[in-house]
Parts: sequence; structure tokens; C-alpha cells
Amino acid sequence: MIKSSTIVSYAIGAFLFIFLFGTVFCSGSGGLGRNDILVWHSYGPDEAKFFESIVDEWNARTEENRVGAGFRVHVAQIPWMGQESKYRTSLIAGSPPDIGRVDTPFIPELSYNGVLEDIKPIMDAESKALSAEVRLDYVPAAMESNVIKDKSGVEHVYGFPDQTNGACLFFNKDLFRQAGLDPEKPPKTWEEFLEYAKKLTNKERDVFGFGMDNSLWWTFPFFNTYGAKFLSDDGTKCLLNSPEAQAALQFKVDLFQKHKVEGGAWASGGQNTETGFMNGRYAMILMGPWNVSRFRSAKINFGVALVPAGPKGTSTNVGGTNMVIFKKPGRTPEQLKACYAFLRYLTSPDVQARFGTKLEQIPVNLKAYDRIKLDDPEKDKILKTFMEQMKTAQPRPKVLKYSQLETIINPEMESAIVGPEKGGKTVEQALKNAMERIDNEALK
Amino acid sequence: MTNNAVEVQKTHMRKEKKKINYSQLIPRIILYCLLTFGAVVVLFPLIWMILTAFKLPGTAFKLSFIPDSPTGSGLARLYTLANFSKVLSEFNFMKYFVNSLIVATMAAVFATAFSCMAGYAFAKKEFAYKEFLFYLLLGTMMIPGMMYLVPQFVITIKLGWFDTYQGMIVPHLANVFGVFMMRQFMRSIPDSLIEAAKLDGASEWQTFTIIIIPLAMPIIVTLFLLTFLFHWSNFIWQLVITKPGSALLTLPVGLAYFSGPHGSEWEMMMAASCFSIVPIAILFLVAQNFFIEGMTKGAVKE
Repeated sequence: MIKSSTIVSYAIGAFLFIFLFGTVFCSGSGGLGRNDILVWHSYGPDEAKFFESIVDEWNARTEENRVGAGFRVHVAQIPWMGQESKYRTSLIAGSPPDIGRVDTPFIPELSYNGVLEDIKPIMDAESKALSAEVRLDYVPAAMESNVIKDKSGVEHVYGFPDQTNGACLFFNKDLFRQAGLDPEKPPKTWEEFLEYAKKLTNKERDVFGFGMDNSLWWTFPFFNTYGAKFLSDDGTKCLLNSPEAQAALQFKVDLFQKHKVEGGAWASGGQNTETGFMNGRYAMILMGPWNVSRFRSAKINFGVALVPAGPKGTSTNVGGTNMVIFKKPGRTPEQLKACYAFLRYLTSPDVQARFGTKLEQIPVNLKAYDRIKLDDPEKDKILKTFMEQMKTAQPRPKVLKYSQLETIINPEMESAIVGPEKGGKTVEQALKNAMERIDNEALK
Repeated sequence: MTNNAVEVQKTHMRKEKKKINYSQLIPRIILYCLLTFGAVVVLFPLIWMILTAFKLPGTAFKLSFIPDSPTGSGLARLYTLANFSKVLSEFNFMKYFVNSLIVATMAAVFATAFSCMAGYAFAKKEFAYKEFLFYLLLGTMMIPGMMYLVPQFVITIKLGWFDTYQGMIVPHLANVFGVFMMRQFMRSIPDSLIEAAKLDGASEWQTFTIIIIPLAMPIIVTLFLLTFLFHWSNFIWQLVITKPGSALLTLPVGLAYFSGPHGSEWEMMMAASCFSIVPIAILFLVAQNFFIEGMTKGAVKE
């Protein structure tokens, strides 16, 4: 008779064998062929639904002789969090998607590693055929994030923007009224802004005129409106010690130190701008369009205005994502053209107008601007403000590791806000230190 | 009962009352205050998670928790059940949940089993370069886990295990920390027990399963729990080793879909998290008895 322990041992052995060498445990999703285009996206639920409907539309198109005919687009969603690891490992494994939606600062790294298709030749051919520069269709700062110059100064274009955003000035209308200000007349310049902020600050009621973030991205609206350039044209030198950059940062510092109209949103442990705005602590903040619906559902009575103008007028930072085409061994020119055609379709005036109207988002195609009209006049006004602001947005510096810039400059800017009396630095010192470190560490 | 006896009893009670008042009550109050404070600190994240799970979309960070009126409509202005129903209906919660359960259970079972065997060998067996090999293994603990990500990924791909349960589980079965824990514990088991078993004619396998395993049960349960917890919450490996939209996605990867570039859908994420902590809570409740049993076993001679 066989012992029960022997049976158990064999059973475990058999299970392990099947587990390690069997294929029954795989997810079994089918492979894609040469006439398929796989797109990875990282949209939120509503955006994903819209995007998938556009893909279905593209797949169902039947016009003859269209570019990309015979190619079918397939969609897979990846989480936003961890997406860069996902792309990196898929590239190591040699199985990236055909098209991927990536965060704009990721483009320089991808292009440096030579994993993206340069679409400039196709774009040039299309521009020639249309007798119009294709690139000019798009929000300039958003398109610009796809353009990378190589060492010899030759330009390459690696993708199309599919979503763009930037900061505008959000203001609490109720707090404006309480301070005797007209909620329909938000500040237009930084001088006006300061005046308003002083009137809005009421320390007894724990209300501050402004809540400000300290990171580099959130400081670009200040740098840009003051006309401060971040990098030299060839991208090898940081230019932060310019009088413009110093004036911009000095203004930020003064809001907290001198005028005391800022509530400490930048400090660790302070109430951040979003929370403070929702709780009526900060009367004005710089914020992007992504929080409009959140503030609305929190029943905040707020308005949105252009970033107050500095010496160089109004301007803002730019965020958002791009759709890029990954290089793949054995890809035919037809498939590349089909990928390009799909992206042109996705970012076409018609699709972008629908995208903007349905999701209340800024279209990436300037030709869609006039075609957007939201039913709710208040919502329409807010979206139009953002659209207007994007025209003057400045692209962020294109360096291999954008996050490194933030890591270097943020503590320096914070020490400037703290000030030399409390163990911090002067604006000049802080920017000089940041500039030297950026030159030596991030731009080498 | 005589009057005298009643009087004596009353005096005794008074004395006792006095005793409680002055010698026990104050330290007790301090103790309970400290314990309450500790409990609040420990429970705060849990309470915040549960409250947020019921809040209206977009209001996670609005610092209002008490409804303005105790009526249904007052409650409805702050709280909702929709997050839970949305998580269960629109979000593939059950699929992610089952996958996580499979991956975490299998990984925890195998990793614990292998750690037991290896720990036993290192603690009680003699073989060439035993100490050297052990310290070599320990040395690998000094390398941060992220360093393994790419080599492990490449090997798993070469084995053809991309987007399979094997790929999700096998690369983490060699658990050096587990081996270390087991070896340290098993060294405390007297050799005489093993010798006695051998004298009674027990085979190696029998010695291991009948003598060693029951004695090491508390530490085995602890290791099982730790490994389970690690795999239940492991995000990055499960993200990179599966295809987007795969049928094998696990909960941490699923939960990440609630996060976007500009913040997260905290209310939904917390509603899903409320469900996702259930197995861990059950596991800890069940294992708690093992812990106590293990700790007290052999402590008192009967």
C-alpha cells in the first residue's frame, strides 16, 4: 500500500511541475498582427470612454484611399501611476505598444534612448501637401514639448499633444464680495493682484489673499510673466541668475515675507492650495483645469482668470501628455503612416472640438477653439479662459531628467521664501546656488 | 446576618472604595488616557479611510465630517453609498480581488515552505561552506529591492512567463529574510529533540514535519503573514509583469487606475480599499490565536 505522505509528495511535485512549465495560468489574450496598432493610454474613466469611442470611429471609417486603411487600432489602459516603469520594462522586453500616451517631461529621456519614431519627415510631407505648416495647428507650448533638437542642432518631432493644460488664477467670489471687491473683475496685473491680496487677507478670520505652491512647475507662471528664461538656446546653461528671474522670485517671496498675504501653502505641514481654497482659507490660488469639477462639486463659488500680467504680459506653465510612436523592429512604412494618421485624426479639429465640449477640456488643436461652446455659460467662460491662457503658455525646459531640476531648485526657492533672517537665503543666493547645481548636475 | 456583621462589611467596602479612589484610580485614568490616545493615533488612518469612502466625489479633503442636520438630507449632503456600488459594478473589483488572493496566497505558501526548508538546513544540517553560503545570502539583503526589478523582469520574460501567474509569483519565492528568520528560530530548537526522533526511527522528512514544523509554527505563521501582506500590496512587479488590461491584474494595480496626473479619486480608492483590507483583517484575526498559542506553548510546565 502506498503511504499517504508519498501521495501528498507526488501531488505537490505534480502541481509544481504544471505550475512552472504549464501554460494554463496565462491570461491568454490574443496576439496582434502586422495590421494592428496597439495604443496604451492612461486616461481617467470619462476620458477613456471618449477615447475608445474615437478609436471605434476610426476603425469603422470606410473612405477609400485614406491613409491607414486596413489598419485596426486596439486600446489598452495602463495606470497613470507607475506608467514610466511600465514603458521602460516593455522597452527592455522589446514589446512596447505602437503608440503610447506619455507625460511631456518623459519625451527627452525616450528620445535620448532612441526608442521613438521621428515623425518629422511624414509631417513635412503633409505640410507640403497641405501648403500649411501642420505644427501650427496645435497649442504652441504643447506641440513644442514633442520637438527635440539633437546635438548637431537638427530638429526631430516625436509625437502630438493629446491633452494640454496650464495654471490660471482661481479666485473665491464670496471672499471677494466680503472684502468689498467686485467678483467679476479679477486682477489683471501682478500690481493689482497684490492690492487685491492685501484687501482679502483677514488674519482674524484666517483668510489669506493667496495660497502659493513652491515647486518649479508652479513658479513658471511667475518666471514666464517676468520674461525669465530658464535655459540657454542650446540647452547647456541655466540662466536663472537673470534680473528677470530674480524679480519674479522676489515677488513670490515678498508675498509671504513682506506683504504677508500668503498663507504658507508652500510650507511642509501647511494647508495645500487645493485644500485651503476649498476650505475658504486662500482667496486666490494658481490652479489647473483638472480641479474645476472638484471645486464645483464642493460647492465653492469661484471664478477663473488669466494669470496676472507681469512685465512680459500674461503667461503660464504647461502640463499635459503626448502621444508618441515607439520604434518596432520590422515595422513597415505603411504602418508608421497609419499610426501617424490615427494621431492626426485624434487631434483633428473635429475630434478635438468634441473632446473639449464633452469633457470640458482644453483642445490641443487651435482650429477647434472656435467650435467649442458649452451649454452652461459659467463653465464655458472658465474653459475659454483656460484656452486663452494656453496661447501664451511657455514650454518647460527640455532636459533629460526634468524631475532633477525640481529636486535641485525647490529647496533653494523654499530657503528664499523663509528668508535670511530665519536661516534661509536671499533670492540672489538661492538662484545662484540652484543655477550652479543645475549646470553641474542636470545639464552635464 | 447580624448588625455587627453588616457594619463590618460596610466598613470594609468603604475602605476598599477609598483604596480604589487613591491608589488605583489615578494611574488607571492615566493609563486609559494614554491607551485611548494610542488607539486614536493607530485608528485614525482607518477611520479616515472609512469616512472618505462614504464622502461625495471630490470632497475627500473638505474638512467637514459632521452633517449640519441629523436628518437624511443632512447626511446626504456629505455622504453617499455610491462609491461602493460604483467600485463593485464599474470597476472590476472582484477580478482584481480574486487575482490578488491567488497570487498572495500561493506566493506566501510556497515562500514560507521554501524558507522553512532552507532555514532548517542552515540551522540543523552540516554541509560544506554552510556559514559562507548563509552570509552570502544575507549579503543580498543589503541590495535594495528595486535593483532586482530589471534583471528579474528580463529572466521572467526569457522564461516566457510574461503575463502569467508564474511570472507574478515565482520570482519572489526565494525569500532571504524568511530563511534568516527561520534559521534563527530553528537554532533555538534543542538538537536532543531531533536526536530522540532519529532514535525512534523517524526519517528526515518525518523529523522535519513532525518535530520541527509544529515547534516553529508561531514563526511560520508570522512569516506567512508578512509574505502574504507583501504580495497583497505589491504594486510595481505586478504592474510591469502583466499586460495592460490583462485578466490577471491584481488589486494594487487596479487601485492605481483611480490615480491620475492631477490627484486621485480618493473616495473611490478608499471604498475599494475598505474591501481590500478584509482578507488581511481576517488573516490577522485568525493568526492572532496562533501567535498567542505559540508564545505561551512551553512557557509553563504542567
